Amino acid sequence: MPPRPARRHVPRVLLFLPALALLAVAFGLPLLQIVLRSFTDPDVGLTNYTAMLDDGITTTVILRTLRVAVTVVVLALLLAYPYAYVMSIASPAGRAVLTTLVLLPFWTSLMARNFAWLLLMQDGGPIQRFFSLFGLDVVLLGTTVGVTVAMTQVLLPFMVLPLYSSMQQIDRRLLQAAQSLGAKPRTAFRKIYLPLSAPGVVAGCTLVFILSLGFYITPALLGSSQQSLVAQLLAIRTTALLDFAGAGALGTVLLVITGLVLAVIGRFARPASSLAAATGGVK
Amino acid sequence: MSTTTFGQGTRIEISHLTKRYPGTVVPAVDDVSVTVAAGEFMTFLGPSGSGKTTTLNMVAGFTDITSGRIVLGDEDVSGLPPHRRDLGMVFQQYALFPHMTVEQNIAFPLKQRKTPAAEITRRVAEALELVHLSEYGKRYPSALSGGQQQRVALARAVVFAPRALLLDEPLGALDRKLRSTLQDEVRRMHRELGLTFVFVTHDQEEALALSDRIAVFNAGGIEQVGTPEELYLRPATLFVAEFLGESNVFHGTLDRARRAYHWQGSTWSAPSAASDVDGALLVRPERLQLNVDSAAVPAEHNGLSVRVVSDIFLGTHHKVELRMPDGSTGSAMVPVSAARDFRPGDLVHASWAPEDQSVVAVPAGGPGDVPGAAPRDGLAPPASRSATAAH
Repeated sequence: MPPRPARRHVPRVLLFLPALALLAVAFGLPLLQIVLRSFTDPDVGLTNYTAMLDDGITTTVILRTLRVAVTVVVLALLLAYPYAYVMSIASPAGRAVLTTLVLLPFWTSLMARNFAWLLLMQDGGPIQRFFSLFGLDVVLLGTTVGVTVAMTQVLLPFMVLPLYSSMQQIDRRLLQAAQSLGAKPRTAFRKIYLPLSAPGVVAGCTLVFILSLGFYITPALLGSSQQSLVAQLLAIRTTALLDFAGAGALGTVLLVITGLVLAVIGRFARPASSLAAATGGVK
Repeated sequence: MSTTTFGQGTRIEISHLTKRYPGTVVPAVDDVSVTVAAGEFMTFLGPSGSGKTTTLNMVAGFTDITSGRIVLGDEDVSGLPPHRRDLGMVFQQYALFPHMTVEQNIAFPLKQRKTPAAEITRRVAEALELVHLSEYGKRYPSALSGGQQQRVALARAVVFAPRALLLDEPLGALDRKLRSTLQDEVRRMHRELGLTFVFVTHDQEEALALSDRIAVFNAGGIEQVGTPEELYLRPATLFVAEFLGESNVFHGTLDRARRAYHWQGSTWSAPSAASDVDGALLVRPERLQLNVDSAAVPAEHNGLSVRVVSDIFLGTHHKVELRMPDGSTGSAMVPVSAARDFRPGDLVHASWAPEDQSVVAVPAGGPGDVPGAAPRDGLAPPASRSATAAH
């Protein structure tokens, strides 16, 4: 190796050092401290974790949170896939409108959006009045269903954007090619388009799932303490009970679950990401 | 490799095909009729916007027909969706499925036809052998070069024994050297398979090298259909002449009674030809003879005095640029054996045998206009057209 290219690498490392330092000090160290404390406070050992298993609430809440997260992912995917598809085939003007509609929620504060849902879902609010026209008595506020609906809406952009970005890379002539080779349009979509959009599906689902696991504002505002999710439980532990070690243990469990999910997705998504490279190469 | 494995040639009859896009006045394809014989290699040649690709897409079924008919063999396929036309198609950008291996790509059309697994394996292997890629079956397309990818696309397009193979500028994305290798490959496949080929290109050299017959497209219509020789030696229109190679063009008048052609005070003999139209007289540069001594000009030759502008040695021949008496420019290709040094400014005699000239129709636009400027055009800007005609 000639010395020149080796020398060029030095400044590149320096470029990400500031970010790395900030992450280490502001994120890495506190995280380490929380994890350590969950094993040492008040006694060294697993007391905080066994207490979590025994209190009868924490496991229920974790399972409920996972269920809500999965539901939100599925709903968001079902809503976002057709939307992103239309975005990818729309005219430039149509695409601009559709993109703006997706991004609009980002420009409004999360609080404002949740209060809007609060108004819509409250007793005697528009949603109840609408369903009462059909003789149905629908209560959304304070229920897991209400929280799920609102979370799906809030998290939808995180599903639409990765989907769109992988869809717009798909060469539409591949569908023509498939049809010329004897595939019905439906088959061409299933055998060609769907697998090629998989990287976007994986990315969108991962993002929405992980954000759902730690979602706080929506369940806090629209849910109820009887139906609380992990983030609410964490908040209660830290602000009301001042049980930092217990909160740390819960946080660690959440972190481990997230890590496991990412690892599983990573195993299955590896071929998909090389796929994205392949489709990029076609263009 | 038997012709039965990969299908047999089917006749393609295109009649009065028209495509008019909503909101446009000028049709993209205007009343095109042409018949491709079974097993023939037909090329649609023309500049961009001339309607050749739109015509191909209507044959493939990707573009709806405004009016007209497409018949494959005895079946009218005008209203059939692409997946029921049984036509192989090769695209400029290969269009291989990136998430499938080479083998899976080639097996795709067979799977759609519910071919038994054992037969799929056998035919995929045969198709890979046909394009000399037997070693590459397990690879993904991204691990292949452009030329290899296009060969996989060719194998995939013929493996299901289609009624014909449609090729949409298949070599356009390849570099020059690879293009000529793949031209050989395409020609060999046509010879071995006996399949009907419809090949779209804007490259006239490619068209001349590959085709049994060429249909020259311009402004949504066909100018002329013929063998490469016919088109080059006997162009029917000025557009065809200028699109296929260079020409010296003289805008004069034909005197049918006296079999004479008048240009700028010169009178040349004009033997009757099959298409006896009044129009421009054309002489290919390689048919032009240059003599310094007028006594050396053969007696039966037509000719005139021209001024030499430059003499460029090109290895196999000299290219001599000329200025005609009316100020227009022309050129002559002089074989190295016959060449002598022509100096800029020399006055020489340029002459040609009357049978080497052709008189072609000139569009209504008047002398000097390429047919692209004719009123019915309006798709491609004239600038791009003359640029294509020039090279």
